[in-house]
Amino acid sequence: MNSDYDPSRLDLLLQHLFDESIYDSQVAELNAILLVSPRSRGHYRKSLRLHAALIRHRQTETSVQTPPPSPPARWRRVAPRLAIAACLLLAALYHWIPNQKPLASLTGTTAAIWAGASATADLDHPMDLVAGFAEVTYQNGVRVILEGPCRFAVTSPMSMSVTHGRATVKVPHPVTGFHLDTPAGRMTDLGTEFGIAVGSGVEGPVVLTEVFNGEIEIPGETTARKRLYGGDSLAIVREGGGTKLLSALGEYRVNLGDSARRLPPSNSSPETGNLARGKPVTSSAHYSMPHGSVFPPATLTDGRLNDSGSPGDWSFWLAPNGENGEFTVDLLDAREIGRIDLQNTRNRTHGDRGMREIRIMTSTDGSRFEELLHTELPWIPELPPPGVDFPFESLRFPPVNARYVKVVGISHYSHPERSKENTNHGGGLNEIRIFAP
Amino acid sequence: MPSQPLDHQENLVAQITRHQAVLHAYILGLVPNQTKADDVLQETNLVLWRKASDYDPSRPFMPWACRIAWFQVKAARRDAARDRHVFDSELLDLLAAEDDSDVEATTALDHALRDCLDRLPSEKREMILHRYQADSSVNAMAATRNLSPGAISAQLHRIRQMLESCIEGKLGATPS
Repeated sequence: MNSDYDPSRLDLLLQHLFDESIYDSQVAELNAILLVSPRSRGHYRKSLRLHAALIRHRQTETSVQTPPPSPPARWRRVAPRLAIAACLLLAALYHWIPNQKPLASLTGTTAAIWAGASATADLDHPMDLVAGFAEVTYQNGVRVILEGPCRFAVTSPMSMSVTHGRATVKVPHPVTGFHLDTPAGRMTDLGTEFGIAVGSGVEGPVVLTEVFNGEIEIPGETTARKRLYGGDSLAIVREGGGTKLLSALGEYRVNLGDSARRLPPSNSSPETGNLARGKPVTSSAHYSMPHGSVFPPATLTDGRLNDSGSPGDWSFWLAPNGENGEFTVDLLDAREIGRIDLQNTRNRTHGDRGMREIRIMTSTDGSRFEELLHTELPWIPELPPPGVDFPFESLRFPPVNARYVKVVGISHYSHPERSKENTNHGGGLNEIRIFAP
Repeated sequence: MPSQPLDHQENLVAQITRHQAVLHAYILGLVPNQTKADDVLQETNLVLWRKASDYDPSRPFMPWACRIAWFQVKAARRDAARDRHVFDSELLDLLAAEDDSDVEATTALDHALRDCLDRLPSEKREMILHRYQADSSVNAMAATRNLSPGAISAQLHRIRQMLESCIEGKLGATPS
């Protein structure tokens, strides 16, 4: 017997490897043996090929002989791999055969704005939904609601890639194995309804996920995959080459309870003549925490409403903890203005932030400000349903000439049930619109 | 989706489909965990499809596909950097470099295995097939059969050896 080739010992190690009962010390031993011994590596390849053939045999048996109408758990696990060739063929056939039904169709939109050309039946290339909502329905009945801004593509009859933005998925019984591919990994349905918000932090992708019903599989932290069940929510954070799973970001529990689970009715507030739209906004400070919990003042004039968005791309501005906050909009030219509309924030599902008493001042030169209004914004006690606008406070006043509009918080709302010692509160606002008289 | 001539896409789909078994074996050899290997194979298939424009049908498909699969194996290891990997990087490079997966040999192995499984005594055939059912585990089998996991594992090993011997007889060589 060759000194670096011990077939009996190698067989024992491979037996544990293939039966997934191998210890760390045995892994180290197997590595050492295989590294130095070409003959051992040949032995490994031979045994491995039989092991692989047995796995394939099981999959073939399952798919050919007993494709169950209602897939049990074993089918769910093997189906994706076996299905891929069929998926590819279906995807290709869709392009080759005229009038072939697409893998999925756009079955509805609400206030949707698309980048570039409007959406077509071809959803298998990256689509940019700038604003609003879109419903994509697959041939197998899987329904995905997307909320702009969102970038997505239908990648197979059983998958979609979402590289930015929000999506909720409802998978009808008995379909399982549908998955969403995100920059933080794959979310695989195991018979369920779930939502994701794909965004980014400073170091890498951040994906929020919540299971509304059933269960899903997501990338694990210390294991390859982790299961989440109805009511579970986590942030999947990719940084430093690894995956972190966090139940809270900063002081806030991950919550996607404000995601649209069905296509909402059209109910957007008109903003025709809004002089502030897209104009620069400055603020002395804003709330900024790791993993995309950043709420800069530019969001105040971006036209996005209702505390929407995803990590690193939220639609609302928040002042730092404990501060009422203030900001200044620069209209770039002195204009005569006669109305200001403000949409407060409630910090999404958390209901613990927003401006209360405010002063509004104007200036033509950015240095000498005169008070225009002193008022109080209402609290938003309940989270409106997705697609329903948070209320706007419309403030009318005698026309004034102004280039700069400054909003200074005097007080703010905090969560009514939190103790006064809790520092987790501050001012904030979703949107400011400024109009001519 | 790549915009390629019809026959190019058709050819690529056929190649991907034809090479599923050998790609599976190649990936499992580097990532000897069923679930992880399945995930890598799925990713590989998608990348192969996305890179259709890079595929040169005048050249052998397998080296191109293996190169992409290799990158997917490495990407999966990067993505799961905190996980324990079975093989360290040096050994992984060695195994990948020495791999000589062959589609005909893999197909022949699959056929031979089917015949050899049929020749096994029924209780042994049932046992090995049970082990390879999804969600099956040695521990669960041990509990069901009132045996220790070690005893089950040893029996499975003996059945695999019987299959290897049978396949060698049929193919005239080792199952490779």
